[in-house]
Amino acid sequence: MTRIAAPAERRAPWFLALLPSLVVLLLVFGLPLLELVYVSFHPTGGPAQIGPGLTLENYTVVFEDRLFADVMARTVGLGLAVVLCCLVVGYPVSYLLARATGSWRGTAFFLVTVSLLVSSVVRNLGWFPILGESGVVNWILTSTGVIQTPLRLVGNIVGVMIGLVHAELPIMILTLTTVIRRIEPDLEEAAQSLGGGPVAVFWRVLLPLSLPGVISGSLLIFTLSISAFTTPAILGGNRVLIMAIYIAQQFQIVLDYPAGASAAIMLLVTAAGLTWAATRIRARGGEAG
Amino acid sequence: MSDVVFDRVEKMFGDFPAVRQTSFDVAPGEFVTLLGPSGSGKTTCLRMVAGFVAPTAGRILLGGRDVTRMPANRRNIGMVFQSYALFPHYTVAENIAFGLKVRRVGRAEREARVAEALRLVRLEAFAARYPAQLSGGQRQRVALARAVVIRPDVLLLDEPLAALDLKLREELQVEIKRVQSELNMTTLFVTHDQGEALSMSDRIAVMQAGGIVQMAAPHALYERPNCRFVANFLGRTNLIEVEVAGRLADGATAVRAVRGEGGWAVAGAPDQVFAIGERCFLATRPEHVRLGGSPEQAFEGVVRNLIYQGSLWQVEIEGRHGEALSALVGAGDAVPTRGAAVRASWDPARSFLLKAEEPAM
Ligand SMILES: Nc1ncnc2c1ncn2[C@@H]1O[C@H](COP(=O)(O)OP(=O)(O)O)[C@@H](O)[C@H]1O
Ligand SMILES: [Mg+2]
Repeated sequence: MTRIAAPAERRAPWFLALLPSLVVLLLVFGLPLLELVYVSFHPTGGPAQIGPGLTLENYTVVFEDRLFADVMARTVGLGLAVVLCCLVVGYPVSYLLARATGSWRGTAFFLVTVSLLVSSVVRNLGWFPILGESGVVNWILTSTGVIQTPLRLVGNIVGVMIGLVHAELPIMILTLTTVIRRIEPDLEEAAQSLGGGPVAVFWRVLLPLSLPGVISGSLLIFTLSISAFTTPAILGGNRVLIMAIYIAQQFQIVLDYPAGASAAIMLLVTAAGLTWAATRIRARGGEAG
Repeated sequence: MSDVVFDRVEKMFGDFPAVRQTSFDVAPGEFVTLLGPSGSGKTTCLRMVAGFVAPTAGRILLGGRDVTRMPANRRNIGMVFQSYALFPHYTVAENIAFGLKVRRVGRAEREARVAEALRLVRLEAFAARYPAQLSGGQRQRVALARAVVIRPDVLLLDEPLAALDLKLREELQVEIKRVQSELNMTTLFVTHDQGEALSMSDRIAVMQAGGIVQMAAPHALYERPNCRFVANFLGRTNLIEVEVAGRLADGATAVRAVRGEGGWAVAGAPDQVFAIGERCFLATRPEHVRLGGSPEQAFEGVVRNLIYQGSLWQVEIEGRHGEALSALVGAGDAVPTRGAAVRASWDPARSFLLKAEEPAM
């Protein structure tokens, strides 16, 4: 028997087809990144200049510069607060969505996903008529006499939080809904029949079984929150100094490129690490379920 | 006093009646089975007792308390699900301890009771395992232990054996029955398997289309079904369309076939009154039909089919006018061949009459 020559042997390796796009990606993303790394290890040489010699100073500044430490603390605090809000608001919604049957389940899912597709600029600007000094919220609060003077809800960290929670809630909901749906409703009924009230059912059954989703969703949203730029820029009015804003200022206003570069690298490494962790947890949760 | 009282309970889903005005009760320590085909409302009844479904009318009492509006977690019931519903993140011992923990039973007592429950279902060696590391039969025993360890007022089981294969199913029937009688546990059991119902229950309620058509002890139900549905849901029953011809001296009823010339005496005590000339059905079980016998009490026909069942042959006989009769013949006895003309007969006391109309539902 002569073996039939497999046509594949003559074909070009499959990855050659990817080559053009790989080259483009490398040029567009890889090179600037490398340059960022390179710059971050050099001292500043005056406005928009890079000094000679190598240094770790741009990284050790974390431990010395009070201002930068504040920026980091504020960023982490904001991330944690957004995660917490998304969990508290998102969990009940996800539960209802996961247990929903019939026709409105599709509708609800559509509404959740479609809000992910709205441009972040549009979404953020949409908050001004609602949260502004003469916006809907303040109008209701003042006209009902709950408060006398309007609250500041935009141009500060509150506005940034509201904007981020709004932007990232759908992601949390989609993540949680997926894991909650995998929990058999029978388990909740078994817990109830054994005498468990709603609190016991939540803490002893639902939460432990949805923990992979809670953790990976939280990591994801924390990552998105600490690296967000558009929302803090628009709703924080450039007054809320968090990492992304700080980095932009170093490049555009202060013109200290090495400082901006090192901050960007630190943010990038943190975000990449957290995303990796979230992916690992999700993969493990998927095996268990 | 009864432990479970179902008082004119009704459940509508939209305008579909899943359970129609149904009443029954379960005495303390009694094992009652709801038996019926799929969709007859058994699960809905059980879930109303458990508190997962609210009745649209009627009352449910547990141990004398009206629980109709009480949430499930305050009813003190033990429930066993077809899906086992064990908590996958807890060990066997933790699963069993769940109901005691939420009841804030102290640690020492809790551990003692969990150990006792494990002993009861003979799973002492598996306390530290997770449900995923158990077989189906073992999981259901854990579920049973978890349900009884809280000393519920009533134990509810919804087709707990349906997911198991035949041999395990039989083993677990015995196991459940043993645990139930050891604890003298008031039990409401749901199944569509007549064999399961007959072998385990003190009483069986046969359900059809959302209502109970007959409720009686297993042998009474089997010997004296009150309608054709029950007669054919529990085992098989030969039904011959007849007309009441008259009364005989010994108290039996004489009937004659609507089609053909056959005439028989029926001596099974009737629950209902049958008028002379009334059309009804003569009912007799295949195991009471024998081949041969006297011409006065005979069904003449041709063997259409022979089905081998191990210890018995099922002989399907067709009368001259298309009437069918089935007889069970011992494998050691003479078995006719297919196509042979045979005469079958039965003891008049082993036959009874059923109304032409099914009970109004
Ligand atoms: N949540 C529900 N909504 C609508 N119809 C239901 C619901 N639950 C049960 N039913 C209907 O009620 C009838 C009885 O169901 P069920 O009690 O589950 O029957 P069984 O357990 O005897 O198979 C079925 O026709 C079923 O489709
Ligand atoms: Mg059912």
